Amino acid sequence: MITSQIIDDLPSAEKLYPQWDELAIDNALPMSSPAWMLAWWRHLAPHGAQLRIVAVHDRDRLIGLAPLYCESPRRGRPTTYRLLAANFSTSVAPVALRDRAWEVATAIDSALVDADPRPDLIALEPTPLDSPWLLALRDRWPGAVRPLVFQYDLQSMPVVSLHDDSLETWLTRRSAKFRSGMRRLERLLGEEGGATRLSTQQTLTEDIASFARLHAQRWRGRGQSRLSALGDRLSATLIDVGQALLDDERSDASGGPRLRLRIIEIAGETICADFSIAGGGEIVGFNLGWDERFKRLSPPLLAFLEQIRQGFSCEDRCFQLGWGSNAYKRRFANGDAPVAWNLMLPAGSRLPIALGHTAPLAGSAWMRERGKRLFTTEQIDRLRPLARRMPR
Amino acid sequence: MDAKLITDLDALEDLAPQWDALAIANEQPSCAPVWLLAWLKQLAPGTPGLRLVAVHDGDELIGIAPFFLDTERSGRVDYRLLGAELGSRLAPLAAASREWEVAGAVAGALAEANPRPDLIALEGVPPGSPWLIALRNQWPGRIPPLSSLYNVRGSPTVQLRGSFADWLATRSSSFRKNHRRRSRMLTEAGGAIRLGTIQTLSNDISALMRLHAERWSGRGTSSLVAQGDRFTAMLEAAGRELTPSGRFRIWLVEIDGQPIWANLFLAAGGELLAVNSGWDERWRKLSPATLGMVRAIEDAFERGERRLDLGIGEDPYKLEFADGDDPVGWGMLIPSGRRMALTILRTSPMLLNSAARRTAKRTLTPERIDALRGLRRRLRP
Repeated sequence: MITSQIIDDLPSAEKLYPQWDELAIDNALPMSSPAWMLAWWRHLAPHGAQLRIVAVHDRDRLIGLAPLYCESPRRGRPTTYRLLAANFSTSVAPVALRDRAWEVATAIDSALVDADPRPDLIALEPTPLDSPWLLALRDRWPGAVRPLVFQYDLQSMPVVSLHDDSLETWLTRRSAKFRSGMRRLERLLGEEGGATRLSTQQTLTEDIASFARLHAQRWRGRGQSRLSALGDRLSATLIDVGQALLDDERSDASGGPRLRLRIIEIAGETICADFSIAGGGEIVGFNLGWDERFKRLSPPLLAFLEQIRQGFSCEDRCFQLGWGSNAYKRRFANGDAPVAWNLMLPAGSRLPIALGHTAPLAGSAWMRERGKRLFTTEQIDRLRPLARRMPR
Repeated sequence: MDAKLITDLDALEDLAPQWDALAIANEQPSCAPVWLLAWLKQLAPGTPGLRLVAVHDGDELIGIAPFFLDTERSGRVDYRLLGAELGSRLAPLAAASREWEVAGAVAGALAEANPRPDLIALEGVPPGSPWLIALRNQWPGRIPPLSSLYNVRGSPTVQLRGSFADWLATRSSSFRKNHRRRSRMLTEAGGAIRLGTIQTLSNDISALMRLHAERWSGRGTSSLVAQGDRFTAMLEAAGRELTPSGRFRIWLVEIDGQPIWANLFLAAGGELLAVNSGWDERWRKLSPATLGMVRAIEDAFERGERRLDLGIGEDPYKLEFADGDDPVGWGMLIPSGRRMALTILRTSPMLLNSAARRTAKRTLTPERIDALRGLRRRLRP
């Protein structure tokens, strides 16, 4: 007996924690875990947003969940449902037991059709490209007409596949230059009296403060960091996440630590903090901060190598390095797991409002794709500053 | 990274072991080279024209897109995946996390292939698979290909977690009771369930084909029956290669040595795929299909396999076992070019038909759909 229910208050959502977390681990989606999403909801949810988590049960067992919220309704704008923590994560998605996503999608759709307010637009972003949810939710939406769907952005996400037998085997696949470079950096760190460690319950608050400080320092004079703009709320959110993931009772005993906040220190001073979380064999890099005074040690590279070393020892499968193919990520990456930004517009009397609202996005996506095909990379780089100056 | 378009069957000999390793890593039994090449040699429509793209990183094969050329359909140049007409789960293969990169190389090779494809068909691929988007996105040129996922069909699955006893405990008490009763009846009737071996391969394939044909007799057309001896030859070729390793299994239920049910399974990387079956309706009271399938599931547990894919189509006997569904989709890409408009025109009846079927499913009751199906069958010449 499949039933779906919309959860619109935090205490009820927290009650789902153990089963929801199990699903997030099964789906290898650490950022779709309740630790991550509910921390975001507590500290970073937009003003006026309403919780709309769709929980799907088969008898007593939670078999799927769409962790959604509804943006504050505004006159003349479509009622938009988004995934929790969408603007704070590298990859999120609904979760379901293996091979039950389509069945769960049917239940989610029937709940959303009757939801209050009824969604005019459902944003699934940023979701893994190989996620079935967009198609499943479109296909199973009740009524004579399927919702319109479109993908308005696609970003590369370099990953380190950890399918080799060991770190040593993985290293042999890298270039000799890479191996000698990393050995040299590790030697240098040792000579400086440096060490790396994982954050613990005891050091968490201090480590998060170091992460926030180093991240802000790194961005100083370089423009606006989205994370630094969150101020104290960033630290509060990450501490909340960290405490939940470090909690023994809730941690994934089989897969190693869930919080991978990697700290590099020299003489007790933190010079790099790399915040990643793990679950179901997947390590997801969130962000890092490091002290430029120690540039010669390339702390981000050392932190990545340590995360990879830990991944091998915990038998993880993949380390996601976050969006964008920056040069330092490409040095480690041996694969790509792109993420997509998708919109779904159900048919109904308010479809024109949703269409009007999304038309500029669709237009700009179309222009971007054409641009990439018509111009060389250098020409695009020259056009970018021009585009930035244009009014939005 | 290097993508190479291979058109010569002999050139595949060296490639087969690494290709097979990719099929195992991707848990795709029906994408194994032995199976697909047997299909190409025996069953491919018209004159088989191999168009396989192999992507290497150094010496390592990191991806393979095994297409063949089909110019028989409406005079178009279609590139279709090998095995497309067998109706099972198919996909290009890639090493872990390298699908996107491989798709870029495959797109580049196909865009320069001779003859140039009017249409690239991805039939039987998981709808969530990134191949359609990745090929479209990375297709070279100023105009991206048109892409469409025009059909999705369910494919029921059985999760093989824990032990066989755990799985049996999840079935209803009436299922377990009936199973015990039928097992007793089978023994009393002098029956047995057995797994085919390399020694019994030819006889087992003949039994499978005979029972499958009998089952379809008077019920319309089975595409496999229509292939006749060529399908038997394909199974013989694949069976000889894969039976010793346990990746080609024919399970049979027999009474006094006479097969009354036979089912072919393929296995790779912990995935078991039920390909096709046949059974003798005279033994309906024993439900040989249920007895045989339960034994095949028990065996899969013993081998440490993780999932049984019951194959495309949500038939009632599959739903008796299934606890999940992993649908497959039919998609296509139409690259830009001089013949693009003509190709769109030629594919539009199929797309319209598919849209009409979809709309009917969304708006009509199952009874009405059945009535319409009956009407269509009667009207067909």
